[in-house]
Formats: sequence, C-alpha cells, structure tokens
Amino acid sequence: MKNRMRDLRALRGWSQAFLAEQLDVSRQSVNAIETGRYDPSLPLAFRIARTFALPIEQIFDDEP
Amino acid sequence: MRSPAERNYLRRIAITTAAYLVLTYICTWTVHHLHPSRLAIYLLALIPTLAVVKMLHVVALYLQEQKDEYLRAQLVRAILVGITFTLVASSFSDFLASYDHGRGLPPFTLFTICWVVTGIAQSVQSHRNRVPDEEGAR
Repeated sequence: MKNRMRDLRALRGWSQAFLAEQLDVSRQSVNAIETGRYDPSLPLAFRIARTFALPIEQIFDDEP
Repeated sequence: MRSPAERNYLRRIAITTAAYLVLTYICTWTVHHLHPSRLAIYLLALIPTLAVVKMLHVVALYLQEQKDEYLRAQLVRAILVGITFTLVASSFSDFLASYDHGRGLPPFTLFTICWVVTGIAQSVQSHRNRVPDEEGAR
C-alpha cells in the first residue's frame, strides 16, 4: 500500500524520530511504513491520520 | 534505545539459555558418571527440554508485552525463518541418517540452528531499517 507519510512529514519538518515519538512506535516502524515495507494496522493508521490531522485516505492509497 | 519489552526479552532469553546450558551439563554429567537406569535416562533427557519450552514462553511474553506492532511482526518473521531452517536441517538429518546408516547431524545441532538463524534474521531486519534520519528538524 502506497502512502504519503514521508512527504507529509517533510512538509512539517518532522524527523522520523519525532513522528515515532508522537505515534508511540519505534523509528524502525516509521521507516518501514514510509518505505512501504510494512502496512500499518487500522488502529495505527488512524493514529497516523490523527497526528497529521488528515483523513486516512489522504495519507494511504490502496490503489495499485 | 531498547523498549522495556525488548530489554525483558533479552534478559529472559539470556537467563533461559544459561539455564539450558546448566541443565544440559548436569544431565550429561549424571548420565556419564552415575550410570542411571533406562527410565532415569529418559527423564534426564527430558529435563533440558523444559528450557526449550521456556524459550518459546519468553517469545510469547515478548509478543504480549511489545506494543510496537512492527517489532512484533519482525520477531514473528525471524522465528518463522528459524523454524524453516530447523525443519530443513531436521529433514536433511533424517534423510542422511536413513541413507548413510544412521549418521545424521551431530546432537544439539537443530536447537542451535533454530536460535542462531532466528538471531541472524532479526539482525538482518534491524540492519535494513538502519537508515540515517535525513533531516535534523525537531
């Protein structure tokens, strides 16, 4: 599943470590999600959406 | 920096591994020096396997305590790789034993393979995630 997390994070000037802290996950998780190696669960996807103050579908794209 | 779940996991695995080695030494020494009965030999062979059960319990505790879902998935993947190699080595050993008059892999090889491969698989996954943070913001 594609996502815009890296771009959104860069727009806000946040580091991976800062985002990881906000989401209460490891920096490895943020990195794995950003690089598309891991698709987050629904609860984590909601936390990500809340952190960026955006709807989930503006962050994640399930289209191939 | 390691999470409390990771610290607990490493501590428990170290203690259990030490217990396994001590139990193995005591049981092996007893069999070789005290020449116990056949039934006692079966029981002595069973005792070190308690540590093996405990190791899987330690993994289960980690999966319960680790709140980070990606790290949980990482350990599950590593253990699957470890189990795959163990089953491959076990089948290879059995075939070798049946083709070569009972000469399979040396004793305790499978147990070592399982945990060494699991450890390597975990390290490889962690290494893949070791990407420098590109910006210094915040």
